[in-house]
Amino acid sequence: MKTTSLSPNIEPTTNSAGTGHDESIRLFLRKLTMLLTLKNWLMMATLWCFGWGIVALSLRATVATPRKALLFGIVGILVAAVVAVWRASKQLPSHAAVRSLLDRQNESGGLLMTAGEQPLGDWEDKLSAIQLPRLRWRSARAWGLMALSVSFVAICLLLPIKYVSGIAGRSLNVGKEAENIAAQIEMLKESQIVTEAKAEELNDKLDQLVAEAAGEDPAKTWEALDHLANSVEKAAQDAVADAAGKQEQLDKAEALAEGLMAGSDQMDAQLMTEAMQTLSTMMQGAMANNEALASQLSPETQEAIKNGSLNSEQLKEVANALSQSKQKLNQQLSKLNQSGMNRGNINPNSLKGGASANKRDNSGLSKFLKDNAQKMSVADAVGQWCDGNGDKSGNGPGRGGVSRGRGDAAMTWTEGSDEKNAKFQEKALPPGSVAGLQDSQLVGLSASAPEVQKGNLSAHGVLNNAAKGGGSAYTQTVLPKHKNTVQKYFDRK
Amino acid sequence: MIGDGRSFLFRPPTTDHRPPTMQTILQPEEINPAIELANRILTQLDRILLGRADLHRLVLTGILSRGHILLEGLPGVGKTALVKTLGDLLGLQFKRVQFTPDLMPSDILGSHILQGDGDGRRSMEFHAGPVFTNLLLADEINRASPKTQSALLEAMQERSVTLLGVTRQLPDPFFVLASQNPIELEGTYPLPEAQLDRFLFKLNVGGSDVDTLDQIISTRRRGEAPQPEFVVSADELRGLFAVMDRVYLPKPVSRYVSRLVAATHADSPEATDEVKTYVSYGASPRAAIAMAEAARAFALLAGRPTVGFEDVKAVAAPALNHRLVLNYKAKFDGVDAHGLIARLLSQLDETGIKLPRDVEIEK
Repeated sequence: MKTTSLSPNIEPTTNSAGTGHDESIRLFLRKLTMLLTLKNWLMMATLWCFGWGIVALSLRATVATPRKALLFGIVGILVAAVVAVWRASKQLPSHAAVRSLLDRQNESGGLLMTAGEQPLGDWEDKLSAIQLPRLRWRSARAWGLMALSVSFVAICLLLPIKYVSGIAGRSLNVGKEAENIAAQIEMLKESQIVTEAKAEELNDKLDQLVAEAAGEDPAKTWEALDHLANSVEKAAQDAVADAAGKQEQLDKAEALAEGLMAGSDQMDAQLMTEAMQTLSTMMQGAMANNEALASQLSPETQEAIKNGSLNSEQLKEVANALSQSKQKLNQQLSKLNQSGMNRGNINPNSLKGGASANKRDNSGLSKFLKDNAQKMSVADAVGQWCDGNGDKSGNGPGRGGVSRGRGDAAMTWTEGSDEKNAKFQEKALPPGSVAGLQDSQLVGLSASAPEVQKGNLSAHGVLNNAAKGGGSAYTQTVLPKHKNTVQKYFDRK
Repeated sequence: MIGDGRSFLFRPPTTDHRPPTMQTILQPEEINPAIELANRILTQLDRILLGRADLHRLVLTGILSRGHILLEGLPGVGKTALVKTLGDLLGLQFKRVQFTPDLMPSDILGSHILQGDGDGRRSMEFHAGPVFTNLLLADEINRASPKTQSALLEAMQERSVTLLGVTRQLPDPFFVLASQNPIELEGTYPLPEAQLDRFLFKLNVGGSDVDTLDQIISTRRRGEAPQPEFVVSADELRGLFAVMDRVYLPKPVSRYVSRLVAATHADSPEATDEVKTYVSYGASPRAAIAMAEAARAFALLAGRPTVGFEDVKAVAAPALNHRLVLNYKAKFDGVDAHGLIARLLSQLDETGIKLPRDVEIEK
């Protein structure tokens, strides 16, 4: 065990009579003061260093206080020395107590104690040599703790900021985005746009992504989230396109069925037969793509459709069933549109056979078929009719379209151009700056504004060959979705 | 009270009339004759009674302190011989009373007897009992009834006897050296603690070792002890007492005595855990006075004019062991007063200096 001794060699202190004893006592008290001061200082400095380290660590972790500012803690060690001296003076035994101690140690038999109270006379000679006792301090533990505390302070001050801040272990909060994607997957599953197995697979991917989202590389997480969102939206887009096709198919069949109901007497037998065959083909195709449609038709009607021999009642039943199927499809499209997944902005009302198409008067279709019987097949004629190119009344201007019809035809404004015809279409993006700052990777913190180095200008923008800017204290990481959008804008022709 | 006056001329120190704070301590020329005399007494005791040097020193300490001593030991270990030798050596009148259950106070103190004179008148005449002596050996004191014990103990405390309204002083000096047998307790009346407190010391007289026994039977015919080579005179003895009175007790030592006595009480801040556990009642203030006086005498026997801590430690056990009342737990755990006092002395720092736990002053 490490011990500290202030009197390694006991040497007799020869004293002159009277004041010699007092000098020995003062000498002993001085040594005891030094030892107690050292001991107290070690203890307080140790405590201070531990406290200093904790405070330094906390300040660096929370407000990123610079190391130089934290070095002022060394003043505490000096203060501890002053307090140690004061405390040692309080711990010192009295003069009389030390005298009795020396009496005991020197086996003076009370003479030394008496010397402080009475004149000794001839007995002074017996006290000519006073030996000071050795002070022993088991200091190993104190020195060890001191070394530990100093090491602790050094570690707290020198530890790199990335280990101090605790950012490394922070996970990235993508809960809101994941929630949106999960809601979209659920909607697609409910709408039977994706199968349950596919929906489950997407959900598993989403859960894994949320679990592995970490703060070290937020761009990677966001990229994966974007990819998943694109997959979901792709499925929705495909569903929209498919629904649009079905809608058109149903619209044509409905128009032909209503046309046959209203003007079957205007068509000859041959045209009638061809129209019935065309309707039969359309209906069979529609029923193949839409199981619900078949369930709305009676077996007799389905049989008549196969045979191409529908009577007026069956035509009415077919028209009603087609109308309801169109309505359902329209609702599905509206839901997709509301969910934000219809990136192509296909408005269900703008589709042929949409809400606006329900108002179309198909009573003139029979005449249109008869007039164009020699020019085109029934299927083409129905297509032309549904495109709004037919002369609905047979005499007046057209009721729709911008490329056909007479000049006095009423102008009909449709929705904007669809995705097929537009190279770039404006759309709102989610805010990038705030989210980017919050979720971006932290590479460093400073107490003051960073210095702008004019000689090292940062590249501004994401485009290749872009001119360098004037430097900025604030830069941000552009997320993939934003990159793609900007790239797409500049790529337009 | 017989002095041979052959070699030792001892002049008692003159009384110092200066205030106590200005008095000088005994100077070597004053104390040396007393030390020489005391050592001669001890030498004689050691020569007459073999193998009991420590006991002799403590008994003489008790005598110089003018205290009464209780000797406890088995029969035949030399208690009576010690007291008798001491009486012979000090030139003191010596009487012995064998205490029995039917012993009455008047058998010790004395009584008034109706006597007639030549004129035919009758009067009550006081016949002094054996207590009127310098050195009284109360043999087997615990066999007497409490009534008789208390009569003797009152005389011990007051150093006077009052009968029929007349108070008679006992001879000066007056010492009682009582003995009691720690076995054969049937039919005995153990001294109560209040009466034990009157004794300055309680000394245990143990058996002799092989060498001592061999020396006794080889040099002593029928065990008869030799006669003392000299007898201390009354003046010499008074001179010894006067010197003893001037042995200086420094304040730190008196403080140590006070702390030591206080530490025998369980409620004292300096009481050890053992004291708190095993002691029902601690030592009385009379114990502190006894220790201070005995320490003075011990210092004188050691040849010093001042009392040191070691003197207090030497007399602490005999002065305290019969004054501590231990509880039943101590009896169950086999803790006795001597062991408890020894551990208390080792744990209580004489100087009262309190340093941090890991700082030590090497002894």
